[in-house]
Amino acid sequence: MKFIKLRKISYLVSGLLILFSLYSIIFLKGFNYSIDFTGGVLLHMKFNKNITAAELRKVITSKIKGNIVIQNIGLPEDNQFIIKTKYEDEPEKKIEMIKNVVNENFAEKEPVLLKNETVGPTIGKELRKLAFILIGISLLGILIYISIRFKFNYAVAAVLALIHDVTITSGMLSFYEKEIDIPIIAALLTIIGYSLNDTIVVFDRIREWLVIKKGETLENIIDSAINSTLTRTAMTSLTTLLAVFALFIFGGPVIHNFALTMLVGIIVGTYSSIFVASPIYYDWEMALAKRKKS
Amino acid sequence: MKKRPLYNLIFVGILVVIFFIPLYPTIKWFSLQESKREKAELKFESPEKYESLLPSEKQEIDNLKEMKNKALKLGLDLQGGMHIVLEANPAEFKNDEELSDAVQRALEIIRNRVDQFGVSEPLITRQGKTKIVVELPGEKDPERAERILNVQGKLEFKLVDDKLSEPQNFEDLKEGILKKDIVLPEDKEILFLWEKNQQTGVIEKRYPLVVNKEAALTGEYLADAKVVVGQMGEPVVAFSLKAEGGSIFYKVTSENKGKRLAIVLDGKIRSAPVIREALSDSGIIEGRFSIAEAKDLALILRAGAIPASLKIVEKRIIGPSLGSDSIKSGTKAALIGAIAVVVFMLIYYKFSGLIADITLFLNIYFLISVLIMLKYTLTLPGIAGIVLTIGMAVDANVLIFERIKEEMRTGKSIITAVDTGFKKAFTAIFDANVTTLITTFVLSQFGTGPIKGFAVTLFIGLVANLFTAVFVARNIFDYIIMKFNLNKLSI
Repeated sequence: MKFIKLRKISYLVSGLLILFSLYSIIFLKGFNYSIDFTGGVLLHMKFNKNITAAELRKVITSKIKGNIVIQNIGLPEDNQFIIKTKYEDEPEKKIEMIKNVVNENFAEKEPVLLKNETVGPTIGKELRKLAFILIGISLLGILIYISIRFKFNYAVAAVLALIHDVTITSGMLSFYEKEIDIPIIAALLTIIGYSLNDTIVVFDRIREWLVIKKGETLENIIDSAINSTLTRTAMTSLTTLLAVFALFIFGGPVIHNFALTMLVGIIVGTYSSIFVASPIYYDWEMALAKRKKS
Repeated sequence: MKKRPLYNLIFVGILVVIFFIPLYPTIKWFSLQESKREKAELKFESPEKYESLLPSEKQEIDNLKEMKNKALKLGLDLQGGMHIVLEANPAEFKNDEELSDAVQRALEIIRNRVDQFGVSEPLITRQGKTKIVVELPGEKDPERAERILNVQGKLEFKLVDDKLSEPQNFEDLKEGILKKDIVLPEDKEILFLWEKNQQTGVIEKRYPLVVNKEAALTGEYLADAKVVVGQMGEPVVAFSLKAEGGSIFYKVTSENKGKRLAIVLDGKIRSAPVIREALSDSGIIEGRFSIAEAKDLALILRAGAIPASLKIVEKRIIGPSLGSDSIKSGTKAALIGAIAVVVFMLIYYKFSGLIADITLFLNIYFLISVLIMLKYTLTLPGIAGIVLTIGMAVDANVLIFERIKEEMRTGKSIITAVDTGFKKAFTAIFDANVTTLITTFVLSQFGTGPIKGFAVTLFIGLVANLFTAVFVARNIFDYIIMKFNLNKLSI
């Protein structure tokens, strides 16, 4: 397949996805941060009988003042919910209050309090900063390593592709209002590692063939490098997707969002290794060559 | 270099045996019945019950506990428990050094309290300059644990100025505001007496007392504190003093007979009894305590006061049922994921797929064994890390196999195809793994426990992967090709 020829289309697709993601993150919905990042009070409840978030929301918000968020976690049939609200001075009282309202009004649904958490507001802010710093540091580390092992041009292309992956995956999280908690940050970092894997395999091949197949055009070398690693890319993505899919379906509510993020990230990451990283590398090299000539 | 695949494989076999040693107790432990496993903590949970057992039963419980200690530990999210972060206020201290010192001492006192409280394997660590993280796995009474952690435990004895403390001297009893014409001497202060409301159980502000600012005696001189039965049959806390404290106490009580002595805990007067006789080395604290409260107070007094006012900034209480659900679903996902990958590899790569599956199994085997050796605590993200390792581990195999296929297509003999396949795939595998190691290393810097667990799993998984997918697989190929003199490879 002529991947380099196709790059205008892939740039368009990626560009639209990135624009849409940024639009959702900045203007439309923002991020649904968990209390890990905002501070607050959280109750994780499970019901033994079927119930919806809407039913819960109607009763709880009518009985307790203040902004209370109720969301389903896991699959609907898990009947598990996160009830969270802002941090207050006496968090125990709020927890007690919510617990009582649920127990009084939904006794027949057999509620069980699985977990409760209180996070002070300052801790959350620190952690949010840390998350951004860590993602930045790993991208920088990767940039340096690839510059050393390959060349700076490869590194820029690889890192741009990674930023592409993280942006689109976070855009999906934002658009579908998925909660951003600490494990999600871990998932994003893992996606960075994973997508880079794919990119490096292709770059490794380009590096090798640039030496062996001197005289060929860069376009041909890149195309055949992608083509010859294509089965491998597909196989690895498939096996990883199989494992993550098992996690998504059977891993339980707590790990559900994490697995979903991984699923999306792996798909986007695989796509970007083929359709984004190598074309950017190509265009970069071409631009450099042009400048040298003039 | 002459190839000796058989020797190498024997070496791998020896490693497998060696790495079984740390695995064995875990396998044994988790194959026990749950009721048996619960017994292991009896000594911590109810020491009285433990002491009443027969020697042989005690021995059994000790053995169980030992086995548990050697087995893979489960994190809070998998077995339930409590996670609390306490923070000191830097404004209370002159400089960083003082702050750091106070936090360190606070940590030791908290450890002391938790040890006496009876939790097995508590984890108490510092985080940054101002924070202390306390993890109590399997804690069944989080409210009590919080009571014990959330008090400073500063005990003071202050003489009451009875004249100034008369209720009519106060303009407002609730607020403790003195009448305008009464001036509070500089060495005195107003503190409130707090008493427990018998109906609600809440400790409430009652009335103000004027006391000396300077404490006549502090908790530092305490030698011991324990619960005894008071005159009315109610539980009270009896304390005894060190020799030096005893002489101070004697001096104070003998010189101030008839006056009241306020017993102040963390700035709240808990009782203010009249000094009837000179006391020397012991006394009691009353306060309408329940037995549990009296026990906790005695425990706090014994452990000493925390030299900073700590605030709870984070608290997570995870019930045991969430944990056991997570274990079940986590292992289910891991098993199904593994089976899917194994079957997939077999179908696509046939016989070579079998070799990939063997190395995948070894990869996970070594991973778990190393985790146990490192005394690692398994968390749900840790399980996710293992599942992810399963998915990604075959990547190296796939890279190599695809290369071998390419080489075979150019008409090379099997032995050279395998040889060049492994060699050429190696740089890609190496670079890819190193860059992933960069992100996992960054991840491990993300303070909180579970994420560290995830990063550690991925890290070890990757290293094990380099060994199994490259070294082990290589030697299996070499051995089989040499032994059976293959000229066709099922790949």
